[in-house]
This record gives sequence, structure tokens and C-alpha cells, in this order.
Amino acid sequence: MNAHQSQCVWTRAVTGLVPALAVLLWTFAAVALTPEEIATYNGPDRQKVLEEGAKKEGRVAIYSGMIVDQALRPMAEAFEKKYPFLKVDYWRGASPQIIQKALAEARAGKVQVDVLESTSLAPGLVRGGVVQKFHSPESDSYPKHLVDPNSMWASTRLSYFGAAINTEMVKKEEAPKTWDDLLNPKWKGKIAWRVGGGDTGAELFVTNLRLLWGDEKAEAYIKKLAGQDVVGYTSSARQLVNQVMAGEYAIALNIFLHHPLISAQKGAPVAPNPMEPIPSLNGTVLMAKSAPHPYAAMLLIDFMLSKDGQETFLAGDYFPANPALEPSKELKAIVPSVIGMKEQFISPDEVNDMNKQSSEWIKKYFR
Amino acid sequence: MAVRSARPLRLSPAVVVLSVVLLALIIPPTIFLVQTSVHETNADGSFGAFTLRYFGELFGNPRLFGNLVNNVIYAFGSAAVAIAIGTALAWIVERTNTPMRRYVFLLSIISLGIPSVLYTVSFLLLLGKAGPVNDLLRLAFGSGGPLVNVYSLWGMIVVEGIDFSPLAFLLLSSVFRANDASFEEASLMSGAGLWKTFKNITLRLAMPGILALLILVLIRAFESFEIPALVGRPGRVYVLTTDIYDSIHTQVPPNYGEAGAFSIILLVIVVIMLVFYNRLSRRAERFQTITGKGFRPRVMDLGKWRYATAATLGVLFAIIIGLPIAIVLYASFLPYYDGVRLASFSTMTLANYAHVWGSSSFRDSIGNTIIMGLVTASLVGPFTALCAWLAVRRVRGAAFLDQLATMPLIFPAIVMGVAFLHLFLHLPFPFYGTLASLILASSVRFLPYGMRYSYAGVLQIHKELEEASALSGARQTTTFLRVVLPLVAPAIVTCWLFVFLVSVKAVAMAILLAGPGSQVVAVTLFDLWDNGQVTELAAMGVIWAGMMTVVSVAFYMLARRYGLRVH
Amino acid sequence: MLDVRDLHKQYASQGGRPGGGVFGASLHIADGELFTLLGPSGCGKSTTLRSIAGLETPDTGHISLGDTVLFDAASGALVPLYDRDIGMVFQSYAIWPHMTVFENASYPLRVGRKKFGAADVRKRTVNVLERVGLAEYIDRPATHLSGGQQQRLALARALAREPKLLLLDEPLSNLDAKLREQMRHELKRLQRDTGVTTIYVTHDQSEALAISDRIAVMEDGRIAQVGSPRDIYNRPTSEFVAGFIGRTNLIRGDLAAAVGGGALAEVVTSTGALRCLFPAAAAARKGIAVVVRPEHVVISKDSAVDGDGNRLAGQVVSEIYLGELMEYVVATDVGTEMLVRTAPGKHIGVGDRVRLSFAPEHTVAVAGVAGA
Repeated sequence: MNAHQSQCVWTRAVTGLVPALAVLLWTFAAVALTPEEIATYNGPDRQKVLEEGAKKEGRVAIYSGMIVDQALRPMAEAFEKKYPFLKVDYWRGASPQIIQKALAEARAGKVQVDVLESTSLAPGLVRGGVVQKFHSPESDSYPKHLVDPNSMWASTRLSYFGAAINTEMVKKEEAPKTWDDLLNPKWKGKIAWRVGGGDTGAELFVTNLRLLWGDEKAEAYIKKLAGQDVVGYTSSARQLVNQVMAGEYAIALNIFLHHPLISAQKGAPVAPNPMEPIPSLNGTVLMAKSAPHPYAAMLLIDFMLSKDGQETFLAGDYFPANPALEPSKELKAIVPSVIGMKEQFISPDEVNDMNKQSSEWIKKYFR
Repeated sequence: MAVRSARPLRLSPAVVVLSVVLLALIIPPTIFLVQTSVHETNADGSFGAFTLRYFGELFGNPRLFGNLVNNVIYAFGSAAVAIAIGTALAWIVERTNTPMRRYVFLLSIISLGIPSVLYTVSFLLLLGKAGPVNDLLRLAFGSGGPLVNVYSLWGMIVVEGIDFSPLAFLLLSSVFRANDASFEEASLMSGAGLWKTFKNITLRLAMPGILALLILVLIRAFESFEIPALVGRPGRVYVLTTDIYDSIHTQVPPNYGEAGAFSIILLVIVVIMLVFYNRLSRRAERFQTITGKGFRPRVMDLGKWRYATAATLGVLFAIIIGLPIAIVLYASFLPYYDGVRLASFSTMTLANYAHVWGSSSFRDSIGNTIIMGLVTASLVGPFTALCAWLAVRRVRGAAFLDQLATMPLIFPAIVMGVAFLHLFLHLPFPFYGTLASLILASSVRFLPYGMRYSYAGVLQIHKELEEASALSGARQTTTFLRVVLPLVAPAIVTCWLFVFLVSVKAVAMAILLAGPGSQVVAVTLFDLWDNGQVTELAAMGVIWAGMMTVVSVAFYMLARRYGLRVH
Repeated sequence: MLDVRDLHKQYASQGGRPGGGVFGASLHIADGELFTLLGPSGCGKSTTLRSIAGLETPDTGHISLGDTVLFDAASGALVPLYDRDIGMVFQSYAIWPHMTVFENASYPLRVGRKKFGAADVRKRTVNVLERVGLAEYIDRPATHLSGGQQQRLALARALAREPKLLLLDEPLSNLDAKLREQMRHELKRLQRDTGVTTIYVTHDQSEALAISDRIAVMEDGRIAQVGSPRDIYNRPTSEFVAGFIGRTNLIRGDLAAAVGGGALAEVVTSTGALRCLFPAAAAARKGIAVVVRPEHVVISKDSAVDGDGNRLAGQVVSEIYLGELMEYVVATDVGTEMLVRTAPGKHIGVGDRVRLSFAPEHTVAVAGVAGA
């Protein structure tokens, strides 16, 4: 072999190797993406990258507070249909339990959950240091206040709160419209609210007013409300509405407005009674730090924030956060923008930070 | 022949093994409990600085005295109600010839099969302001007349007492069943009437069983969260756990410090109570009614009085089972619940049943749940029988077994759930989130109940029956298997049924420990409650109570066929 | 065959009462003997029995059965109770209510160290049940038997594996009087037939006298006297034994001079000088006790009484008709009372003046100290 020919061999070898190496490097680089990089990946091939990674993972685990039969399962099934190579392991629990489990798993170094979703979830998980930044293009179209500026959470659903009234005990004309209406002696002993169950009952009622008026005026009002012998009820919001329906109480404060609406549509003697400003909270989705299946997790988060995904849990009587979706026809009657009432969105951090003081006032004045 | 040195100072190997097992199960949650009560909880859930503030908050609570008084009244009141009802039922069923008494057993099983929260709620529905009882009172006395207010201390006493009475009945019935009728007949022949005989003979002999119940109910009442929250709070009746319950939820992550501190105090009280109980049953010979001498458990012929007792049975039934079941059944057919009205009958529908039965989360979890119940009950029964036997025979060190097995009583279920959550996560092999982990945690939780059933059962066996076996050449294990177990079997069967029925209902630990693949029905029930779907919960409750009844009856018949000849 | 030496077992005192126990009991029981431990409750007889059975562990002492040492405090030897070749019948019978007659009786054959084949077990059990007369009930539940039958079942069970030693702990005390007497004969017969060495515990002295080959009378944890029924009855060596066994008249007096064993001597009492038999030698002393059994006192309304026996006169203060006997209480002229038993038909009634006489051989001096 002469020098020229050997040079050709080398050139060919090198020109053959380089692309091979490049591909190798590229694949290696792709596999070596950290979870955070996966979660915040923004390249044009994002979908492809996520799907390829998810194919290798095969499953994803979610802990959520949504009702299983009407919402969580249909959502999981729709997701599995879209990505037949993925299986969803879902677990339903209340927020305190979800937080317990996530924190405990993280501390033991045995994280099993990938995605977490519920109301009243974000501050606990963020401050516990068990979730990580992520970005889903699906939430780019959302109103600013529904996505965390620190990229730790995005909103999946919304809830609106207000009062419920028993239509047989409270005539339409008498229904309280302003906060002072609640101080009418006629309602003494007939009003109830939820206490001790976390932060969406009496505590949220107080927080709402504090944000509206400032602490001083709010406290003065609360003192007066205490004179109405408001009954403290420990149970779910839905159950309190049932009590109103049964006639145990005339008015329930700060319950989910869609509950009495749904019951009224079935013929029950109850009606939602929104009062301005209508406090609204969001349910959020987060991604676990050291999630065992980060690629699949992002796909799931994308799906839950997308129009298709959010549609699946409309049947659970949830209000979708995605602005492209309308709430279901039956439930429109309590959406603030639809009925022309002022809404006061309370962010997860605000709820959490103000809860202690609000619950202390309740203990102080209503025991 | 084996000859060993006289005066062996070492412990029996059985006691050692059992102690090790119990310590392994109970020490980790207890350590967690102690740590929780003296440490701050950080945002990531780990323990922070050492602090005594929880104890300080407990004792420094300005309402402490008021809450304590309420708690004491509540605890003793509900104990009195439960024990009175349980004793009356047990005596009528086991010691007399009242007609229809066999059905009491079946109906207690049904009532235990109803999910707890539903049971409580059905009483609230019955007795609430808008409930049928008050409606009747308004009809009778007009709207200005006396009304029943269930959201009060007496309401709490009644609901908790009635809730507990099936347990009281089951435990006392196994005690009464083994009473040799000759003791009572001797009393009657001496001229004492039925009441005196009952008071002086029957009750005295059943004293260890009654005291055991007392311990169980009192501790349960002191650490119960649900009934004070559901029944007491709306009526502004506060007990010690009301503030504790709040303290858990006002912080994120939930803070169990105060709950832990409270449990530690309860632990001290339980230990004292057990010492007292042990001293009383020390003269065990006094309670040994299963003797080898003419033992024929006969029932007493009440003559004409048996119709009166049958009527009493009827009334008690109506209160304990009939009315709650009626309300639950009624609610299960309604689209929504708004009180008991004639108008509602026209809206009745089977939609709730269809929904429940169609719910795959319910159907999928039935298998898991039944397995969990079966295994838990089968572990607790024989295990506690062995511990109880060693303790009653005063084998050296066995009193410690009794104390250990009773300790889980002081843990509120939530705290025990969190404690086991941490324990299981730290095990080097996959255990967290499995059905087995839930079974283990359940077994520990129900050990105290098993212990009291078994202890009362063993106490009744005359020591000479075991001595005769030893003198016939049998070693201790043989004596235990051939003589003690068959004689204590009725108590164990009842214990099995009880643990089975109650463990499948237990929610608080299941919601934390069950994983995606090991869901149990209790959690589904709780979800329905949490979502306020009362009518669907009622339908599920009816279906569940029906299934539990079938399983229990099957088990009972099986047990009769094989072992229960002492009946 | 059974050798018990220096057995001590002390129970802790409870609630002010001093604890009972056994303090230094020693026995030697021959093969095939029916030996009774007799005494009031608390005398230590049950403790002794239970120590032999292995249900209690003594503090000190030695127990051996044939060549086997069951217990020896000095060497630390202790055979566990399930390994002792002993059968026991409990006072409460301890019949297992959940088993049949067959299962109860055959239990020792089925659970002991020695394994018997099923056919062998059946044969032996049928045999022993036939011996006690329960063969026809063999498959009945044990709870269907009457009290007496259960007692026999307990006996069958104890004898099933033909043990070297049979222990009976007050086995007849729960039976009614008629059945008890009948069972005494049966037990004695059974014991003779099987020849098993037997220890019988009872507080009933008439029972002990009826069935025993030898009796040990116990008091306060100690053995007071060991002897044949006749010896115990006629020659009590302590006031306690004399008073415990049968009914007796006890008279105190002074002995002027020492006397040898088996001799007659005079004891000066408040009723006059009595000629008494001294079974054992005694030194001169005051306050010696003399016993006369009621059935040895001859009672008569005649003033002339034959013989050179001891004599007393008095008046009848009470009479009891016992069917086969009459019992009289006579107030003697010297102030003491005497109990007299005699055949009926003597036409003596309350208020009659009578003469009493009893032979010196029947006036037995007791070795006990006054007041002991």
C-alpha cells in the first residue's frame, strides 16, 4: 500500500468516526440530562426527547387530591391512551397526607412519587425542599398569577368560595349580600362554618377579609361576627352543605360554591350565595425532586395542563385553570367573571402565611 | 429423664421470644412518639430543636381544666353506657333462655360492619335539629317545647357509648358464656333473687372482663378525635383532643408534637391502670369458672320474665342497630339528603348503589381489604392468646408482655400511621406501600383489644386443668395447644371477628400506609365522606355491612364446626 | 419406695396472716402402700403432696421415688413434673370439658414421652375405664358425666399409664355422704387390685381410718404422728392427734414417778387416781393428758360394776340417738363431763344417775404437754 492510499484510509476512518462520535456524544448527552434539565428543557425537539426518555421509564406515579372515579382515573386513562407505553400509578389522598408521604420519602431517600397535585399543597412541598423547578409550554397561555414565578408550580384547577343558604329558611330577599348582612340578629345561631380542617373554611373566610380590608378593620368585623354564635363544624365542606340542605343551619360560610349549585340542580332546598369579593384558590401540580421517572413526569404534567387533559376532569366538577377551556355549563353560574362579581385570588403562599393568624382569631373569638 | 437445676432464674424462652417480637414492633413507633413530642418539626418534616413547648402548651392551656372535666365526664359516661348495654345484652344472650337471643350476635356483627363515620353520622341525622326525633317532639309539644340537642356532652356520651357497645357485648359474652351455671344456681337456691344473683355472682365473676373493657373505653374516649369533633364541637363542647386536633392541622407540614405529648401522658395513665388491673386479677383463682368439676354451662330459666327481657332486647336493638341502619338505608336511596320527609320517598333511586358498585376503585380494593382483615385477625388472636396465657399464669416476665401489648392503645391512629410510615420507609427492603405493611401496622394497633379478650378468656380456666395435663406427662407447649387453646377458643373466635371487622374499617393508618397497589375499602369510604357524598357513602356502607356479615357468619360457622364445643 | 426427707417449703405471709408451709417433713412409704396425709386445713398436707407431684418446688429437702431422685436441694436436682412417673387426682377432678371420656382418660398415653400406638392406646384406655366402671360412657363428652362419674374418670386418667405413684388430693370431698362411703370401698379395692403405691390427702379422719394402711397426722407443717389406723386411734402420741382423731375424753393429771413403756401406772387427777396405760416411757411430771374413747366407757344404772377398772359416777345431762349408737354426755360428780357411746337399748335417759367405768388399757396416757 502506498502513502496516498493509507492517507485515504485514515481520512475515511476519521470522516467515518466523527459522525459516529457525534451521534454517540449526542446520545450520551441526552441520557445524561439532569432531572432539572429535563424539567426545564426548551428545545424544539422537546416532545421527542421527552417521549424517548419516557419510553425507557415505562411508568409514572402521581399523588393527587382529585376524586378517583370522576377525575383522576379518567385523566390517567386518557393519558395512557395518548402514550400507550406509559402506565400511571395513581394514589389519592388529602393534602396533608400527600405532604407527609412526599417529605417522608424524600428524607428516607426512597422517593417513589413523580408528580403531586392538589389544593393547599405548594407551600408545604416547596418549603420542605422536595420539589423542583419545571416548565411546561402548556402553561405559557395561563394568566400570570396562575403560574409560579419561581417555576415550582402551575395551576391545574380553581375553586371559588362563598356562602350557601337553605332556601326554605332564607328567602331570596333576605339572602345576605354584604358582609354586614351577616351581622343581622335574625341569623344568630343559624350560621356555621368549618374549623380545624385546614385552611379553606373559617380560616380562609378571615384571610379573605384581611386581604380586603387590612387587619384592623377585619378584626373589628370578626369580633362582631362572633356575637352571632357561629357554629364551628369539623368535616368536609361538602358535608356542611349537606347539613344546610337538611335544615340544621340556615347559612354556611366559605364553602365551595359549586356544591350547593349542583345540589340545587338536583332539586335540593339550597342555593349558592356568592358575596364580593369571591375568594378563589388554585389546585397546583408540582414535580418531585429526584423523581424516579422525570421524562414521564413532564409528559404527565404537560397533559394535565393541556386542554385535552383538563377536559377529562371536568366531569369531577372541577374548574379548569386552562384559559382555553370553559367551565362546564352547569357550573358557570358561580364563576365570578360570568356573573359579574369581583374575584379575589389568594395565592398559595398568601393562604399559608396568613393562616396562623386567622386561625388564632377564630380560636380567640369563637370558642 | 431430664434433670435441670432447681430454681431456674432464667426466663421461659417463650416469654423471651414474644418480648423480642413485641419490642421490635412497639419500640420504633414509641421512639417516634417521644421524639415528636419533644422536637420541633422542620419544613422538610425532619425533627428540629429540642423543646418542651408541647407539654407546656398542654398544661398551659387556659382551658385545660374545663377540657379535662369534660373529657372525664365524657370518658366515664360513655364507658358506663357501653358497659351497661354490653353487660345487659351479654347476660340476656348467654345466661338466660330469652327467646330470639341468638340474633343478637348476628346483629352486633352487622353493626360493627358499618363504617364508623357513617354510624356516627346516622345518629346525628337521627337526633339532629332537623332530624326525625326532633320532628316528632315538635309534633307532640309544638315548636316551643323541649328539643333534643345532640351536639352536647350527653350527645357525645350517647354516641360514643353506643358505638362501643358491640365491643362490650362481644367481650362480655365470651366471659359469660364460660360461667358455670352452678355458681348462679347456688345463689338462687340460697334465696337470693335474680337481681341479687346477677349483682353478687354474675357481675363479680365477670369483673376482670368488665374492668378490661373499662380500660379500653376510657383510653379510647380520652384519645378520640372524631366524635368530639363531629358531635362536641358544633355544640361548643371541648375536650382535650379538640385543641390537639387543631394543632395538627394549623401547620404545614402537620405537627404532631402536642398529640405526641398528650399520648405520653396517656401512656403513664395506662401503665398505672394496668398495674391496678393486674393486682385485681392476681387472685386469679377467684375468677376461674371453667373448672373440671361438673362444668356445664346451663342457662337460667327466667320463666315469664323472659318476655320482659325479650322486650328489652328489642329496645336495645332498635337503638343500637335498628335506627342507625334504618337511617342509613333510607339515605342510601336518596339523591341527596335533606332530612327525613315523606316527600323524599318519591325521589328514591338506586343510583347510589349503581355508582358504588360501578366504581372500580371500590371493587378493586375489596380483595385487598378482606385479605388484610383476615390476616390481621389471624395474627392478633393466637398471638395475644399466648401472651395472655403466660401473663395470667404469672410466668416470670410475662406481665411485661401484657403492658407492651396494651401500649398501642395510647397512640392516636394518625400518629401511629405517621410513625409506621417513617419506620417502613427506612427498612432496607421494599416494604413501604405494600399490603403487608398495612397488615403489620393494623396488627400492632389491635393488639390491645386482642389482649383483653384473651386475658379474660384465660382467666376463666382453672389452673388445675393445666396441672392435670402436666402431670399426665405433657410439656408446656402440648398443654397450651391441647388444653388451653381449645378452652380459650370461644374468646379467641369473638376476638377474631371483632378485629376483622374493625381493622377493615380503620381509615387513619390506611390513608398513609396504603400505596397505589394496596388500596383498601376504608380509604374509599373515607373519600366519599370527605367529599360529602353522604348518600353514596350510605349505599357503600350498606353493601359493605352486608359483605362483612356474610364473611363473619361464614367464619363463625367454620369455627363452630371445628372447635367451639364448649358452647 | 417413696422417700421424703426433711422437706421444707415456706410460703410468704399474706395480709397479716403468717404464711403456711411445710417445715421438715420426712416420710418413707413402702411399695403398694396406701398412705394417708391427714390433718386440718393449713397443716401442710397439700403442700407436701404438691411437692411430691412437682407442682411446687420445696426450699430444701429430698424426694426420691424408687431409684429416681425427683428433688434434692443440696445437689440441685429437679425432675420437671411432666417427667415424673406419677398420676394425680385433683380435688376438683380437673376433667377437661372439651374432650370426651376416652380423650380424657387416654391423654397421658397420647402426650407423654413414651409413645404408644393407636391400637395400644385404645386397649389400655378401655381397660382402665372398665376398672373404674365407666366403659359404657367411653365416647360421651366428659361434661355429660355426674360428679361421681367424673371423679372416677379422673382416677382412670391418673392410672392410665400405670404410674409408680398415685396421688389423691381430697378426691371424695365433693361427693355426698352416701356416695363418699361407697367410693371409699371402691378406692380401697382398686388400690389393692392394681397394687399402686398411693398417697391420699384428706382432712376427714374417719375416711383416713377407713382406707389407709398407714396414716401421717400433720399439724402446722409438721408430722405429728405416723402409724397404722389402730395405732393412731388407740395410741395417740400427742393431744392434738388424740383430739383430731375421733371423739375423745381428755383428762389431765399428775404422774408421781417415772414409768416404762407399755406399763400401767397411776395418774392422780381431779376425778381421783386413774390407772393408765403408758405406751411410751414417761418421766414424772404434772399436767399429763390421759384419753378415754367414748365407746370404751361402760355406762350403767346399776350401782355395782365389776372389774378393777377406773370408775366414776355422775348424772346424764344429754342424750343423742344415732341409730346404731346412743351418745350420752354425763356430768361426773367431780365436775368434769364425759362423752359416752354405747349400744342403744339401755333405757338410760337424761337426769338418770349412772356409773361409768373404763379399763386401764383404754385409759391411754398421751405424750403431749399440757396446753400443747
